Amino acid sequence: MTLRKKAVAIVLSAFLAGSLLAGCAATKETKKEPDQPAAPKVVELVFWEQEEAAEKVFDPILQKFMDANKNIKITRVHYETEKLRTNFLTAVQGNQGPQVVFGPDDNVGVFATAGVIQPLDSFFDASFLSTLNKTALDGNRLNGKLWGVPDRIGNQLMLIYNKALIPNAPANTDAVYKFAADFKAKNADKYALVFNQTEPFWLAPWLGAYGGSVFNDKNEPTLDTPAMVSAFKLMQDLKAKGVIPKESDYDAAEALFKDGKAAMIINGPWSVGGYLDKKMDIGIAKIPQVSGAGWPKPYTSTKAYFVSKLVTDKDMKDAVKTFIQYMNSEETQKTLAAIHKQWPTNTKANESDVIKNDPVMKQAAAQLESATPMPIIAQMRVVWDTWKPQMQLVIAGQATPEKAAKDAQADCVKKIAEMK
Amino acid sequence: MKIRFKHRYFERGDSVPKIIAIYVTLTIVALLTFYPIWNIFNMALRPQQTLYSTSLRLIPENATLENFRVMLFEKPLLGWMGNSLIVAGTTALLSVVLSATAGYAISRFKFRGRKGFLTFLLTTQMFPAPMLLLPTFLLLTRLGLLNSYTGMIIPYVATSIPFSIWMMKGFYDTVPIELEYAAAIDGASNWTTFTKITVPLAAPAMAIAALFSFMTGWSEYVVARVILTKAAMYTLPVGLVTLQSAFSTEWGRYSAGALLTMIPAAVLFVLFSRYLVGGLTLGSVKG
Amino acid sequence: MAREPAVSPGLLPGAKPWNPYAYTMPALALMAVFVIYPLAYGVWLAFTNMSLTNFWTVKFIWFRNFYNVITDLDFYVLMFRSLVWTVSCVVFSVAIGMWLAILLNRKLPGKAIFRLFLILPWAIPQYIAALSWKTMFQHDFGTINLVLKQLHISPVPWLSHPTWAFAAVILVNVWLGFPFMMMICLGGLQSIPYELYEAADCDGGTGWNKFRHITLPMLRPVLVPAITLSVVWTFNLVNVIYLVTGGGPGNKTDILVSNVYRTGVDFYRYGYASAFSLIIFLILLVFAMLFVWRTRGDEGATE
Repeated sequence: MTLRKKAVAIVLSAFLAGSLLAGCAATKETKKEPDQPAAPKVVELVFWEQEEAAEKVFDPILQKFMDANKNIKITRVHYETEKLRTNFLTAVQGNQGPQVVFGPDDNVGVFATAGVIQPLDSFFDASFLSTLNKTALDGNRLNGKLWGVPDRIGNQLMLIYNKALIPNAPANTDAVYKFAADFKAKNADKYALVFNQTEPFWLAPWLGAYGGSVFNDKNEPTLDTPAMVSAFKLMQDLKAKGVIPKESDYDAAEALFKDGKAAMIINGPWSVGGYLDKKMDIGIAKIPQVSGAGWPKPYTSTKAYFVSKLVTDKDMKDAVKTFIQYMNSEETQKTLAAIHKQWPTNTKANESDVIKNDPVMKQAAAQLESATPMPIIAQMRVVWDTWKPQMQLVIAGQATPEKAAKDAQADCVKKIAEMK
Repeated sequence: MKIRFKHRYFERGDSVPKIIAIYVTLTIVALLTFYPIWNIFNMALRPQQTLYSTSLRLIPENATLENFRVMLFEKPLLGWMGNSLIVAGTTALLSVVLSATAGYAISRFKFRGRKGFLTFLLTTQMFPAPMLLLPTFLLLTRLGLLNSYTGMIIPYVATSIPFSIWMMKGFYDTVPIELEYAAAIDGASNWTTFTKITVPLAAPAMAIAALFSFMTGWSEYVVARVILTKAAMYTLPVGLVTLQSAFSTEWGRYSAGALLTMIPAAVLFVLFSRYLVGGLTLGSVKG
Repeated sequence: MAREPAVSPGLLPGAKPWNPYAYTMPALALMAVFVIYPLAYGVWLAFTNMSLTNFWTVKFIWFRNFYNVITDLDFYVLMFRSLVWTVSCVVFSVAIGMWLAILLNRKLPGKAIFRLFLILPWAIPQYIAALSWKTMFQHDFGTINLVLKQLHISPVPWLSHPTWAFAAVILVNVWLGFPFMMMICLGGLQSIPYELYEAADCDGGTGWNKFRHITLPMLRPVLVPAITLSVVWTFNLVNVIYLVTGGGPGNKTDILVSNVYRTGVDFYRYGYASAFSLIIFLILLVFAMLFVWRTRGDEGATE
């Protein structure tokens, strides 16, 4: 017993020693960096992103960039949306973190207010900025300063339909109800329409159809409006008439649609690739108009490149400039757009034939005409967080639309005040 | 004849109906407990990468091992596992060593600060974790421990020690002190008694402490996610999380990865559970 | 026999007075740096106004955060829910764990296999278990409802109805937690001398009596720390609820600590969230002191 214990002890001590050595090696490495030989100095740029299928999308492009710019080494790290935001804030607090962050533009409100990114009006030349779509750039402005360089406009929800189950997209909600009644009668276990019933991002288009919005001109929340009540009522109606399932989150909706158990799904451009991979025969159309009201207005947003406030060294600044300008050049944007199927901000890329003739993007373009930019101020976070529980309660039949709207508004106002 | 057979394998006080009832109950509970795990296996076998499926079949249609193949050979899963093994293994080892000694002191000696230390251990568990993330990160940054094994191991040990110490103390309390008196009479120093007699007897407690600390290191991802930014250093939970995206997670691959994550842990449990059965001392001092 | 009271070093032969300190120093040192520093920082943050607008320079605002926390009505709703959550989870885990341990604590061929199956939930990382259960609770596709349909029972809206959702998360946490309790009890049961039970049998003891007067007291030294720690961990458990229901529907499965997460991480109100955490900490501290003192759990079974 003692002998065996001795053996175990030795093995484990070696283990421990090995791991401590490995730890020391890692730290030694990080400490070595400042001392580099003269020129050309290799700048190490860390780039955080939250792109879907990032490896496929970014890595070939990053490789091409590094081949063309031998003095810049780029490390790409992927984080999911929420984690990206939290970890970036934490990292900058500790004087660490990436030099460039790529994410949705609603990060502008958060990052700019916290002061963890730097304004970009003078960072880039006007000549570069003029190659990009002006509306997109404006979408990244806060308090008069430009905070992010957008590379695409889109992210809008659309109606995607399975041609095998429904040959043509319904034009309005009456048509949807009619189709659903027939469809349900013939297919008891299938649904006419599915979407993520747990996130208010999917409720926003309907709110727009009734003419409502979450903020007024003074950036105050307006959640208790007749438009909101109508939008809630519509959700309850769809559920009551069996058009949508009783419970469905993002994954359930995807599963139903991909399994051929749902005729239509409301989803964004990021999902189209998945359906095409499954060889589904899909069509894209505008979300049906609400009969007796307007066309739904889903949120569009841009995705932009932000620069950490810790980037002060001249060489690093140059590297960042070169990198971001490369990623937003006509060629790169054309390549990226082919994958993510959203509109590039580079005006030349936008007008190129490749983009104009892409079938998915052509169909999606119609929806873009009836869309509204998503607010990027930091208070939007509070709106999402107070809107979401009420939406879930309404759909579950636990709250009336009127009460839900009132509660959402009261809660939102309270929490925004607390955020100061 | 029949009675002798029964006594050889079963308790004397258990009647046959009771034994049958026990087997049936245990089987039902075991199967119910196992189902959620089988569910993951089910998801990993599905080719469509969906989270849900409408059938109750135990093995899905078109079941395929493709997801496992991709995870093992195309994704750096094995690298992640290596990192996790080093981190979790060292955590377990250090934790057992530190808690075996500290627990012994608390159990055997009355010294100043004894009660305070015990209460302190308990209180360290009470502060909600989300708020400790930022200061932990700042501390590790200042010490230059980002992206290192040490930077992961030390916080894990620090958080798993309190339970381990309490556990060791509890079990030491059941080891009769006569054994140590006996050894001391033979001229052994306290350290010798401790290492040669008390520690082997506390094997079951050490096994529990080791398992617990290992699992802490094996499945933690909140702190890991913030500290590890170099892909080469990713542990299993962090690696798996990179497979998840807001909208298009490949659930089949993720589930396969999750199952592969569970296997080393399960193996460890099987190996160690033998120690837990050994039972504690007792009966070694008569009269 | 079981245990002896702790002795001072002088009494234990072969021991030097500095022995206990030597034994505890390494653990204490490690924790001093890696646990005390973050805790101290968290406590300090509680008295400041750090938030999104006050990210780099913060002001010391004394007790304002605490005042805001306890004057918010939600605090009491969340506290009540945390209590129900914690008590349910711990009671069920302990009960089931102990029951299974008693069943397994006997000569029984094949019990190693049962033990293996029953300990598996402990080997599963929480985030994986939560995912699996979440799919099982889904209304149309989840295994549970599909099985219920086969039995001609109408499907349960597990995740969209507040009460069912709460039951669901408790179920998941009990599934995750009973193996731990089972192993603790098994370990403890093995140290109970058989002679005690035999003596009770001679005196005509019933099963329940034996359980109450022999098993429970003998298990006390190992059970009390386990329960105390389990209560503290469960009270502060963010992961399970967050991963299975996200706090929903309508934030009705939120507990105190999920609110800390939301205000701290989602709303960036670092100062407020820290104060909230400190209050949770004090609540648990009071509980621990009362519980350990009342059950005299830090002493042995025979005292």
